[in-house]
Amino acid sequence: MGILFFSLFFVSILILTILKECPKLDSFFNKYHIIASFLPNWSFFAPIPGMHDYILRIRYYDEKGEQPSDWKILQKKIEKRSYISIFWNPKKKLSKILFDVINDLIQFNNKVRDLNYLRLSTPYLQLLNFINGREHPDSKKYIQFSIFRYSRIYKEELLFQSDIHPIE
Amino acid sequence: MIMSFYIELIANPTFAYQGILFFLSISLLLTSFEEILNKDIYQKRGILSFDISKLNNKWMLNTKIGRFLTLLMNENIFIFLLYLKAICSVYLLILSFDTSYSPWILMLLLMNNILSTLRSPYGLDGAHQLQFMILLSLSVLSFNHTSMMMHYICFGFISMQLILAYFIAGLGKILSPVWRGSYGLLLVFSTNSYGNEFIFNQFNRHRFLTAVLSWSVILFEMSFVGVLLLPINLGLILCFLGIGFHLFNAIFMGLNNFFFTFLSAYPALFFLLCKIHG
Repeated sequence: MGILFFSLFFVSILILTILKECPKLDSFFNKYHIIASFLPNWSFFAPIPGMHDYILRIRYYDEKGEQPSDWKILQKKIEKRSYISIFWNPKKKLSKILFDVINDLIQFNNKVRDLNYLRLSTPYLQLLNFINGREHPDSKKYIQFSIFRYSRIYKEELLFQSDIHPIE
Repeated sequence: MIMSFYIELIANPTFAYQGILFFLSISLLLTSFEEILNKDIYQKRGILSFDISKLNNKWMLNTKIGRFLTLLMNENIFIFLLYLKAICSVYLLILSFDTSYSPWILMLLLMNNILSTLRSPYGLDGAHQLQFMILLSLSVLSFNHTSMMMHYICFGFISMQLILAYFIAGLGKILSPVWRGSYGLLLVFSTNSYGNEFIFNQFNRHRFLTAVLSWSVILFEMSFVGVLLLPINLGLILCFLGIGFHLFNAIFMGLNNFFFTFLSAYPALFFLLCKIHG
């Protein structure tokens, strides 16, 4: 009985793993996103691989509507990896999370194209919260962030600019 | 003589189980240390602040089980769970030298993996997903380890996930004009996140080499589906190509966790290969 149950259980997971790759079933998996989050996504770097790195920049305002400060890089560009990263690569964790959050924000932005709606989205709030959590000069009251993308092939370009928010 | 000794060894289910545990515990240990070192990301002002990510899951706020899980996922308890994961991984590594089965440790690590997935989808990769699949099947196996059939089912499941991982990745690439045009590798290596300046320059200079390597990756990933059906020598060659592929990715793409996690699935595949080919 146990063998039959677990066989069916594992076969179901394998079938769902395959079905998750079908674009036609996206709406089904979006509806049951909790189940989908446990299913693997095996289409590594396909169909279109990530071809950019992102840079997060911020600038300050003393008062809303006044002249802003210059853009300042908040998240450093990823430096060259050392060869020890074959075994130990802790920097990858934050850079992967930021990459995912920014990717999600950009995709959502491409869909809605409405900053009022976008600033209530999880990736926008996560980024704003992360930026607010950094140290800022006491004299500054407002902050704005922007996302740039670049690679060894493509020149740096502005991808997204946020609303102006009070520093919490 | 030596070859037959090794084949007998890897055809032993307990040895295969120990092999999986050994590499899995290393990958879990690395992951947990990297997470502990980055523990600020889980704090209230971190990029994975739970105060914000839970807004995405209304069921967490509206159901009893959701509210209970919310307690486990708040920053202080979650960071404690990261330390617990590291301790369990060390224990698992020690256990991998023993022939006993360890269901409770595996269940704890599985729960930890589930909580990470529920807490936030950001930053989770294929290594995390494969860890989940292996932990799930080993947990089931260790509760039923006296059954040989259960070994076949669980190792079969791990092997099928490994085969699917390569096949789906290969299929996605062959259907993509970017990869068919041999630009995929060049684009990946043009980034700092997954690329490497030296390799990018070589690929950029020698486009024919890039095309050959791009198609080699696609063909390798797609042919892996036949690993269990091909003659054992060819099957083993595919396996060693797979391990080499992950080693290359660890060295030049920084995918260190993928290397150990995928390596941990191979003893299950070796076990099945030996059984299928007698």
